[in-house]
Amino acid sequence: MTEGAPITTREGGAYAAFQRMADAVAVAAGHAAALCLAALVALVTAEIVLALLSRMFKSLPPGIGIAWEYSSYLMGIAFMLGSGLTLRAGMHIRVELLLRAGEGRHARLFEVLSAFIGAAFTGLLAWSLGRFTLQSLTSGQVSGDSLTPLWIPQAALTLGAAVLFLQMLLRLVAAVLNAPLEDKSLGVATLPE
Amino acid sequence: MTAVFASLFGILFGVLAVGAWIGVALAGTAMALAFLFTDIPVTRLLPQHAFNILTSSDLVALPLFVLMGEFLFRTSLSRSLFNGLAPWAGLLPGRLLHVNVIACSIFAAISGSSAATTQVVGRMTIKELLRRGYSPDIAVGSLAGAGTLGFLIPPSTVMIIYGVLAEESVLRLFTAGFIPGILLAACFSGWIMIHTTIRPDLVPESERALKHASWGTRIAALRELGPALFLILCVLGSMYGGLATPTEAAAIGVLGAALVSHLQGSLTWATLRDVGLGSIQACSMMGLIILGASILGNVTAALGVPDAVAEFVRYFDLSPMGLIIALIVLYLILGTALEGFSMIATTLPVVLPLVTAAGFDKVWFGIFMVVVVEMAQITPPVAFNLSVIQSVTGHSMSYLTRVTMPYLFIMIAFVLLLAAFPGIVSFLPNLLLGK
Repeated sequence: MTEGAPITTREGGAYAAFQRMADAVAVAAGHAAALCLAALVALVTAEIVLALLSRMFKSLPPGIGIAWEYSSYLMGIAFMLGSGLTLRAGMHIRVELLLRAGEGRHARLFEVLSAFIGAAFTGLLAWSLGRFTLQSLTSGQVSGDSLTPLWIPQAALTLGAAVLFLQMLLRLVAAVLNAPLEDKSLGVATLPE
Repeated sequence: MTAVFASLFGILFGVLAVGAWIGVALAGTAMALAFLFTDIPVTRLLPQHAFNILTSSDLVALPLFVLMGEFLFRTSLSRSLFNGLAPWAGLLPGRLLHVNVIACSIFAAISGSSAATTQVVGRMTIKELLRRGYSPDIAVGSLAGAGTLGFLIPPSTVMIIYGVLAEESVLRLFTAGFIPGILLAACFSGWIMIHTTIRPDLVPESERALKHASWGTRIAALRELGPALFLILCVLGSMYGGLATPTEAAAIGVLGAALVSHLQGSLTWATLRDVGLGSIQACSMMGLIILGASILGNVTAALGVPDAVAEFVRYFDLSPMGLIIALIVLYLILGTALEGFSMIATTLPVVLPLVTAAGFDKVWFGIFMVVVVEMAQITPPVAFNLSVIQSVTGHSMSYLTRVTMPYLFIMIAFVLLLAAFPGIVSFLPNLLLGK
């Protein structure tokens, strides 16, 4: 599915092999995120249709009880699962003024620093989300509306954060090795916003 | 408090300066502040907050409007807008230049993004206007100005994000933006008429013939506007009619956009995949910023930063109007380096309490923020709308800035007008939704 991704089979040693693997994971997670978005559209649409039909046929329920709650879970999961791919595609926004200043003389140093900060933060995010999920699982926490076990959406968010962390970590390695940091061919968003 | 401020600005600017991602910088600063100055256990705050904000139901309209935009981007809507509007715009002094403004207004009422509005409208109008011999100065300038309407005329992604961060009703914001949006569009069109009257050489002589097109042609051209009007009806009609919430309206809009795309024959599996992945990338980008902003907002509030800033500003004894002018200057400076979302995200936690204390309401300030964010889209070096135009025409950034300048001044004057007459903002929401 990754048309245009550089085919560098036996090049670059261990880092390149890891990066290819991580990219495949990020692309797969991106597709899963897109499916979440499709499910979100389907859910909200079903809710609207049911609300309309129930006005005509009184026996029908006025809505799917879980629609709003589940659509917000799907949204959160889509945001996080797509994040690793978004980073690799260079679509996460940052201030690039200083990176480019002075013909980018300090660009490499800044890239290492920013990737380090990114890896530290996303590592903390993934780890703490993982612990949070485990706590919900062991204490049997359920949502107030539908009694859904909360660890399920939380685990999906954790997975997304882990995919992002993996990309950040490899970006740090790439910045140190002076390898390309992004694969613009993965970016398909027409516009940043 | 001095230590808190020094750390806040030191860490935030330091991290942003080395090129860390906006969301990471905001959240990282929040973590550091919480660790240094509070007893809040950061490893508990972070996941709980991430889960709450990323699954907040007010935000669900955001991915849907993004999705709708990605669909529309891959249709030939821009061509039909141009064909439908051109015979009518020919009636006004300035002729087809008004297509820029009107098409941007119409597309803005369908899409939530200002860069998308600029691109979709611009890729059709710019080539056509230049081919016909209009001066690039005004063809490009009016597009850059009018493209910013994408955020002000609802739906608007910026308003959804503001609504979530400021805890204000998105529907109210969507209703409040309508009249200011139309007024600003009218100001742009008015300026085009004045400008082309003073400098008739900007419009080629041959274009006067457009005035004499037959009314039959004009009426027939209206059919081209069908798809766009259908989509406006789906989104704004369902919302203002009280039939749908912003989220439901967005879902209806997605289905409508998919239908238009299908009828135009551009809906294939490959398109669907690009639409899906493209939306995901735009959403993930925004999601990370929202996450960072909301955590930083929580931590700074817990540390009493907004109160301290309010105290500091009170010392200057600014009038409400003085405060607004100071904020315009602040945002014009910030807008050179930050794009819109980041600007709202970094400043809102501190600025919002100040403004509400000065007697402005949150809906009014939301509209104010949207207009200043629009200004940020056209103030270089970081100016999304100008970059979008650059990718179409290849002009230099300094040229684009120069020809866009009059529209920036119109926007500044417009914000002051809104501050003097807040009723422009509050009239429609009060009428449709009650006080």
